[in-house]
Amino acid sequence: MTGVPTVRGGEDTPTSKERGSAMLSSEQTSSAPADTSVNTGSKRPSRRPRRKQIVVLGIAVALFAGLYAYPFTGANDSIVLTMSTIFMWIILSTSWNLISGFAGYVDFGHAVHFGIGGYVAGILMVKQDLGFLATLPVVVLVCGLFAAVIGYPLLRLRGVYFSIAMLGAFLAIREIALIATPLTGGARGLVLPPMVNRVWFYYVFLVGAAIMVAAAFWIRRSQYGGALLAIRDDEDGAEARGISTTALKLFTFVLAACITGTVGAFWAYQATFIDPEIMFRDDFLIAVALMATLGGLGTAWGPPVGAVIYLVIQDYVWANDTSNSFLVVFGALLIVLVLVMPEGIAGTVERGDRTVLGRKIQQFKARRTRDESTTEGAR
Amino acid sequence: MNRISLGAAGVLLATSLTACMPSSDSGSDSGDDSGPIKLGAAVSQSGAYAVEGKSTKEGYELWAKAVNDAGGIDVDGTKRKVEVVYYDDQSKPETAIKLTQRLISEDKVDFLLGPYSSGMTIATSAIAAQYKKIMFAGGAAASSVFEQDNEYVFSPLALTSEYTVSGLDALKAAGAKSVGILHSDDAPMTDVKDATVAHAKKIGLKVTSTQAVPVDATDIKGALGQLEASDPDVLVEAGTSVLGILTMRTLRTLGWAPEVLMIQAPTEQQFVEELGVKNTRGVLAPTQWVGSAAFEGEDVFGTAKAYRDLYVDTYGHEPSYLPASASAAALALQLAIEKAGSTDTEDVRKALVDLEVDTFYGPINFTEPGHDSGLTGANIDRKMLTIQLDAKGKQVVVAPAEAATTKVVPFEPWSKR
Amino acid sequence: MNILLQAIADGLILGGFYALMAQGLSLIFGIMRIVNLAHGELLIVGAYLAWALQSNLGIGVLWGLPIIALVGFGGGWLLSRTLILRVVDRPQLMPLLLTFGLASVVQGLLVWSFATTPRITTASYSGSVVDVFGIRVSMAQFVMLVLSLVLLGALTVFLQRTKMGRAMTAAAQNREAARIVGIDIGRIYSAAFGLGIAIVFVAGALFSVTQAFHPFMGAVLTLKAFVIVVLGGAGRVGGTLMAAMVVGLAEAFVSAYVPGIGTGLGAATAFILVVLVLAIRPEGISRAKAVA
Repeated sequence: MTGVPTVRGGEDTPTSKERGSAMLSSEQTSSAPADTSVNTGSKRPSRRPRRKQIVVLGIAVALFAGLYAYPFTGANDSIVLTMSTIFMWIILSTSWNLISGFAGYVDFGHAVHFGIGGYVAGILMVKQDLGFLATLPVVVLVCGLFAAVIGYPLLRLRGVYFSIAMLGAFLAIREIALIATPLTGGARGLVLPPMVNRVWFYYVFLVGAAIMVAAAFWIRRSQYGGALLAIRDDEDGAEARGISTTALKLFTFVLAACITGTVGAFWAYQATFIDPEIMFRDDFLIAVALMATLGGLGTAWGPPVGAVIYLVIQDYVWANDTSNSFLVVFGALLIVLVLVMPEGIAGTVERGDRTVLGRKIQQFKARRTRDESTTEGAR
Repeated sequence: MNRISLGAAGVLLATSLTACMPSSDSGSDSGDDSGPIKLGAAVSQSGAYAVEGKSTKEGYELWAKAVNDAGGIDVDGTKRKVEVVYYDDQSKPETAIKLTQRLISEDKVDFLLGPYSSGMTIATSAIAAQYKKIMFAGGAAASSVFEQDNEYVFSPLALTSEYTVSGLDALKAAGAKSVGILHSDDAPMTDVKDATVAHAKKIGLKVTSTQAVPVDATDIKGALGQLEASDPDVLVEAGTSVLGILTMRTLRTLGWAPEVLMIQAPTEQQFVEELGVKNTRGVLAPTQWVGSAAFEGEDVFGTAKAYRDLYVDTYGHEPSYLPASASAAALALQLAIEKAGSTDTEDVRKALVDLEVDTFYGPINFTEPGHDSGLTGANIDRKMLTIQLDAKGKQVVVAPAEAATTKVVPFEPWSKR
Repeated sequence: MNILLQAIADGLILGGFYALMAQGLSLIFGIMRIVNLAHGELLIVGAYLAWALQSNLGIGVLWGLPIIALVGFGGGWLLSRTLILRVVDRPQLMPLLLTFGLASVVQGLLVWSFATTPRITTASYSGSVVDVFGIRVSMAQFVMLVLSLVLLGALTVFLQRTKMGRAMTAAAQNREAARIVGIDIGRIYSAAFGLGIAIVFVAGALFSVTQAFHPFMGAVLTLKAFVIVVLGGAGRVGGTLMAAMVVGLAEAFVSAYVPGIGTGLGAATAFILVVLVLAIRPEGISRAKAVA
């Protein structure tokens, strides 16, 4: 690869190996093959559905049905809006998690895709009088192309260098949006045809979030996801094992960009007014990073859980306070999280052998697994 | 299992997007006719607009207190108190949208008081219109806010297009021949630039150069250097108070002393505090309102001076134009309710369109939809005042002629200070 | 007036400030392999310290500098002991998130103690202007440039000639080897972090005299420092200075010659430059081997 002084070298290696092995063992418990390799295309052994999986699936379906029916219960538009915002951030944090959590390429400029998506939709609606839904194919196309063009060179960089380069791309595109006044309206912004229909957006984001989370679960257990995790833990090793890392990284980056861009387009439509500050937001990165970390990086259910908790906390703190203390509280939360629970909630529950809390839970789980295996006679 | 759930999701998506076109609940009017009239305001108390947002909130608060001390708003013979629900939008549009929705749907307010900043006003007033709530924008002056044909947004402020008019007229009368413009590249200040260029052309001033700088610029020497090279008699600066201070310091560094007409900054107390009286002497600024203006009305505040005194008694410092504008916005609502004798949105809206009064803030007369100017809900006849900072750092009105108390004094070279 | 010479002078001054500012980040990144995202916020803390010393205690900026540097070192040492050392060996994202949280806390505390009103420090020399052959810069900017260069020189001497400095360099080059020869890595790290923060505090204090500042300025400064560190190669004083001058001159030239655009595009230009440099020459613009 490139001659970047790899930040992940040296002393970091033992930790990531340790994490890698911890993860592989958790793979085994869900009966996915430990040694995943895309090129061999080995068939997964058929497995009989476990009771636990049926229960989880049942809960998921019930939850979705409940949420689907929710707006019919006469909920007011404010709550509907709040919930659709939560669904939106579930999609965003999960898509960020694909490239940053699974593949380990921490994207500090992910908001650029959100902004581009919003602007493509906005420009087409305002300047070309297109209907919103008609803009979506163009949004996906432009976001995908942009991601492919910048992703190809930048994904050769590793560690913090990739993060900075993405941040640079984000700021540069924001400047360009500000200067390209004939197209974007510059700092004056664009006023979109107003569409204030909270329930419509509720369903858009609810269904989007459901698909996204289901896809994340599938990816987490598929060979594709296994390959991404392998890249994160040891990219050279993954390459050596025949995983075509360049293609996989680029595909994942483009996929995440298209999803985020599409969400950006919907959000722009909902906001009715966009300018560079609104579409290319500084707080986007903070939000997705905190959600994914809180929930658990590189897990399927971490980011959604993190998004829900983050938004509930944020709403709670902000609703009761106007003194800027939310900055302090919020920052302190992140610090404590990094120090005490770096693997997030999902990580702590699944394989938290490095935290006090996690070890306790693991001991408890280990005992239960032993009980289960004796009764079921499996393993 | 995944294929099934994906399929199910697809079916659900199809049904929800096509079949489901739900109507919006139009935030039922509170049926209670004797209780307090409920208002909601999502204004910035933290974040980038915290200072302006706090001033705006003080203006709303002062009005609410004055009204309640006087017994309340007279609605068809019944005195009803007012109650204002405040939220902090953190200067973020997403939060502003969420809070406006909450004020409408959850707190079920009767009327909305707007945020500071034009962008957020556009975004939130679209919601207000959808739910047929009137929004009084106490902090938005960009004409784009009133170009949306939104019948439910009103603002008493003079538009950004008016900002430099009286100042340029006065400077032209004092012998100026050319003008250069420095502005931050956000919406209101770009409006100011466009309007200044247009007005300069109209009265025969030559525009030598215009320079845009980012809102958060930290070094503007290049831009000012280019302006200096074009050698205008007058420098118009349009930006926040930070940019104003930066401009003055850079001018001194460059040793360039044109006539300076700047937006916003000189009317903030801190401008003189930071730069010193001797360095700010002679700076001109347009302002929406000053306590010394000769405005008078039959409203709860009476005169501009009375408003200023009440404000100083309450908050212990001089009011800028921001709280006065916010109070005026709320006051317009009060006058319209009293005129309509009702708190019904449509009645009040009609009363607002017909309203034509003099207040402590000056004349208020809103444009109706379809007005020649293309603006809806703007206080279009209102003129900006132009002040100049005197040798003591005080603001004296120098334009327009009918409101002026003294003449424009030339800006002295730096070496003579 | 000669626009070209003026732009060069402005670029050098901007570059001198950027060099000092970025040096704090560069030192920490070079030695600890940690990117401190709270860097810009800490610079603003230094600026507020200078302002508070001046307006509350009447201590002039130049006299206050040693105090500010000491507070910075102490604060940095404390931060590294309580927070930074705990994540230094963790995967990349952890220090990034931790320092990001720190940035948020610092910003909140600044707003809480000083409000969002922009401030500017008045020094005894604030009013003067240096005028050489028609090129004019304020005395505050001139002082900032001179002191930046002096301090960078002193730092070079410290890193090359003192025992502590050489231990830091050794730790930067090879962590394991340094440990084997008996260097206390924890102590080195804390000292390096403290030194980095002391530098950025001083940069903030000098900066506070030249222009207005407020609590929300930090992020952009962090990013610019980042750009410079990447361009110059982490940990090397000379590389940082060179990269800072390149960025400073680029910004000054763009704003002097491209009409209708401020220094903001200069910033974007710098970022685009970095993206290109990283893509084509990931080891930075200067050929020499990067630390670590």
